[in-house]
Amino acid sequence: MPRTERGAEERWRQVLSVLARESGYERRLDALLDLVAELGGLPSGHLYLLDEGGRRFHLQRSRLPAGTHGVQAGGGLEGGAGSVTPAPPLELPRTPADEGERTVDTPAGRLRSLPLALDGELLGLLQLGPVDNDLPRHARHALEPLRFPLALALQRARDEHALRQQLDAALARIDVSRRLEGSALDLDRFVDLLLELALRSTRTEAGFVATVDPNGGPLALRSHRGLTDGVAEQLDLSPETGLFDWSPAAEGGALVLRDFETASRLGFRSLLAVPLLDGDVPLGVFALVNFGESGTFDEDSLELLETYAEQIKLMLRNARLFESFAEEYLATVKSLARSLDARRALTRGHHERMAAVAEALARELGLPGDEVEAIRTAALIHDVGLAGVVEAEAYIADIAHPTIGAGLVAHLPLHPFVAEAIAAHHEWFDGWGFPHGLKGEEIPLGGRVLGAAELLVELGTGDAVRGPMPLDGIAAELDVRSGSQLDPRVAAAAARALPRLPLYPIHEKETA
Amino acid sequence: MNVTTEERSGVKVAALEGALGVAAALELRDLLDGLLEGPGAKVLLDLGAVTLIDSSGVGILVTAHRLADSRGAAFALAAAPGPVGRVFELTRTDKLLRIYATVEDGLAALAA
Repeated sequence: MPRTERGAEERWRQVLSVLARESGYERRLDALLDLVAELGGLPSGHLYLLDEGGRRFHLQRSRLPAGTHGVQAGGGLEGGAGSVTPAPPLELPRTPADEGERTVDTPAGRLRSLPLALDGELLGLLQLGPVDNDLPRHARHALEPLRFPLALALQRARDEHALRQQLDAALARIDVSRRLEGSALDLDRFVDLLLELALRSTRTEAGFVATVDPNGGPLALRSHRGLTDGVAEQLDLSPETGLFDWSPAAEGGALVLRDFETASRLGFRSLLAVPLLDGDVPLGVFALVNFGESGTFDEDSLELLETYAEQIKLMLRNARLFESFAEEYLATVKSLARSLDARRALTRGHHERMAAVAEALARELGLPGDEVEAIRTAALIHDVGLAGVVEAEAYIADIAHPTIGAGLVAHLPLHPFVAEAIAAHHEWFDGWGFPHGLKGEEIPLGGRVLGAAELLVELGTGDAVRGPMPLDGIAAELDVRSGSQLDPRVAAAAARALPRLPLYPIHEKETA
Repeated sequence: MNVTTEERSGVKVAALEGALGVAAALELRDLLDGLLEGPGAKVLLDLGAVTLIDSSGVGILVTAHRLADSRGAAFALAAAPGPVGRVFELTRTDKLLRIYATVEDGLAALAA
């Protein structure tokens, strides 16, 4: 084998050995730069990679003389203690001269710039120095066989880097799916998580998601991270005067920042907001904010931003669809409950009366408005689990109907009181109820309220043998059953509210 | 942000360099307002050396685009690097703005 081929083979062996020994993009490039410095006897080496658009070179790794550290033009330090060496530029615009070898004067000194190409395609630059005008002969001799393997390594490393970025994006998506398991219906939690993951993976300091009310109305902040409450409160998102200029129906849905002064006053250094559209239907805005110099919104960040924007868009779209479906579904369940009541004269209007009585009890107990509303909704459908009862299995169906009824609405985006109350409306305070024999505070409050309301409505309605019980009789029953069937607190509230409870509407109407 | 302006074939070509973020927005607004003065003004922005653009930078470019329309002037962009072009796509302003792949393409279109 000729001597030069043996030299090239030896260089290949050294390069392959470096690549096999080191793992990871940056460590491999560092090791290659060390090899270049060792073989060429030049202490400084900088490796630039041409971007995919072929317009600019980006500094990948830099090797500075031992015992020094670099200083960027902006003042940031690289490396540890030691003397200071000006660092090379982070980016270089591509020029026609980069296709050939040349000497360049840089902040890091006079360097020899060597193109690294494969099959005629320029991949990057290797800049070595310091030099006077050209590489010393021994350095050229040692380095010439390294250029092809270096270009190959650079291409390999670049491909690995791109793959890793894709892997990171894929892992981020998997992470999203995994962390959101079991919370598919909780839109705010979902959006919060996506925002958190987006900020972390794009290394952005803050961000927010604003959504458009499906029934019209302006953009409203839904979730934010990294913004102080003061900044969040000052975000004006109104369409006419707010931060963004966005008319989703016009100009293809283009979204831009309108209020630069406010953005500047709030300390925003950079802000990238993308519109979330379902076709032509506006869903909201997803925005990332940086207060310092760190935000670059580079190609990788933009890809991740798009991934998360897509996820948030899908979630908002699904939530809208689901809310619409849930409303229709709940209306169907309420109709089913009404049709069950209509089967017998004594039960006609039962669910409506239960709703009125349960709501009055909940108010008497001083519960917050959303819990009162949830208890009312539960009362309107509490016996729907009796639908489809086969007479031969009536006992089993009766025992199971609270669980079946709760199961019909458990996955709807409703207040948790609704399913809880339905599931527990036949439990007794002393543990003698069904289906689970829960006791005391183990029984959800909604269930205790519904249980009392059911007793009151049944006593007020009467049955085929006994007519409606008068109020004094009902008051006595409340007293007797307090602490056994009924929660004493709820029984006391019922006793206070008794004169105002609509217990006899059917009989009053029928006897009127 | 650094700016170099020159006139080529009757077109004012402004080459921008650096970041077009919130800090540069007002400077960019003033620059474009001046360049777009007078009916028939033709302005081409060379974005080849722009390292970052965000919604504020895009906002100024869209405002300049509307201003040019209202003044009877012509306004176009050229040579946007990959990430800058992606921001135009993400903000859906790529269909709104006149964007050419190269300065030469932009010059040919505006000079015609």
